[in-house]
Amino acid sequence: MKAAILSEFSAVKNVLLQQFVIYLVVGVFVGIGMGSATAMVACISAMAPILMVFTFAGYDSMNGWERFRATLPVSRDALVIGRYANVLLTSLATLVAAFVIALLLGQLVDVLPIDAETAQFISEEMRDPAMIVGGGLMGMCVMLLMTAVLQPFILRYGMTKAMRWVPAGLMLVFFIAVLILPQVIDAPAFLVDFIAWSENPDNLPLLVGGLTVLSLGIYCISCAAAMALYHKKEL
Amino acid sequence: MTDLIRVNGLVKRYGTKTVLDNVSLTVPKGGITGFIGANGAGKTTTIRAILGLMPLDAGTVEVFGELFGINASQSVNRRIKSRIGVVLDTCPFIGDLPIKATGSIMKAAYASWRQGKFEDYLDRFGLDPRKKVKDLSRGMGMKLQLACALAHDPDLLILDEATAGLDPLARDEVLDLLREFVSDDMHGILISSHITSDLDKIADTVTCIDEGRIVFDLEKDAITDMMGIARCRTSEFEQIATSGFFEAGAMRHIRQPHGIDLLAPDRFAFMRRFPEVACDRMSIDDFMQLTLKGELR
Repeated sequence: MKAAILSEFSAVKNVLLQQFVIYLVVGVFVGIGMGSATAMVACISAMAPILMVFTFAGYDSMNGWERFRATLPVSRDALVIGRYANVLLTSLATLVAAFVIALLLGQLVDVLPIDAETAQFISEEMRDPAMIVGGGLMGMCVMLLMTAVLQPFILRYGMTKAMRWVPAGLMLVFFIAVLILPQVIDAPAFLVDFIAWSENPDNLPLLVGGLTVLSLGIYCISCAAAMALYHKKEL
Repeated sequence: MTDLIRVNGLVKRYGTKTVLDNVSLTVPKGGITGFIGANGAGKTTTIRAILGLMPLDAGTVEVFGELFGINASQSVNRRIKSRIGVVLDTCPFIGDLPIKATGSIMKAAYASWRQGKFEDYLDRFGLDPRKKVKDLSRGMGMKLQLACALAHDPDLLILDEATAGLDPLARDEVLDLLREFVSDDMHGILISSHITSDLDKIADTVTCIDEGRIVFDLEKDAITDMMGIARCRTSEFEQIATSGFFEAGAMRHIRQPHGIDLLAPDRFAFMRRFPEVACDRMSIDDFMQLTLKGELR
């Protein structure tokens, strides 16, 4: 397992710095543009999982790398777990890095070319680091959920086919949900209640914790599904 | 001699098309098995099957005496694959990465990886560790694959068109390396190649596949030392046919624009009987052509 995780990581470690520069530029623009360190951390953290999945998928389809990778002394299960672990670990590392950038932003807020009101808002945000980490965690978890849907199909059928069929499948699921949900619950009223509940700061830890547990659970289920699908893939 | 690879009765079908039809072959310890055949004959598919890269419809693959396949467990994978060095027909490493980073990936995957040995091979092959994989020529990419395949001290090499794209000097260097690899009688090589002259130089046995079926599996010396190819004029061919030297239906030949090439199973006996007919030493290429395209009389 260690060999699978490390070899997979070795394949992407050279691009991590490039990706981090992208996260930084986009994140700082979003952060300063929206005048919020929480938004910046959430934005950077949300970018990491999906970019990592696309990076790995791009490499798989390059020069027969995926076939060669399967000749290394690791099982197919280990390859899939290694892939999922790398996406998760690099996403967590990006979250930590984004938080450090937010701390730096908080220190530099007086010298940055931003108006006094925004500077004041960012300074206030910095007094509640848990809120910033929570924002980042929620951004990361939402995108982890998306990668949980994508990854089994990307691993089994390759990125081109997955990108063709998964959105179509999601649209189908969405329309079925739109048709069925009104018969089960009062969706608009539920949404209004949920938004009101989530805006209460006291409920924030529960919301962040719940989303984290839910997304990690679905991520693990997705990993198990990917392992089952990858078992029979011809390479 | 113990077999490092023992493939028995492999069958692979795609719908109604059978791409491997009862394929069997062996790679003995201390031996080099040359695997030849036309494009699309089934060489790469067989190699993929041996490496456990695809599910099979029938047959078994034993590597180092252990059953191996697509769903082998982690421990079996580690035990078997860590002892195999693989070279595929195109350089599979990630193009954006420098050669040095490719070494890091391999180092992470193989417990037996020897960084010093890898660097020595890079030096020997003239590969700059800072150069990106995508900037390598086909030949250089093959050399990088060989360096990676050899740097973890494998017991078995599986090479799919490993000498393709190499210039004649580099090819000889690689062939020397392969000879050196099997010289201790503990290692073995399965090498598929279109360049049969390479196999003339290094193979111990030659296995030929055509349309997914093994058409011959012979010791190379039985082909190149014993057999001959007689270059006959039509009149000579008729004279040989009526001489009783060949049994009826056993004269394998190909009609060429300038005459008829005839397979002589024992060229020394043939030359004694027909001294006036030119009879050359058989090459693997000629034997493959006669076997696959020849007619019988």
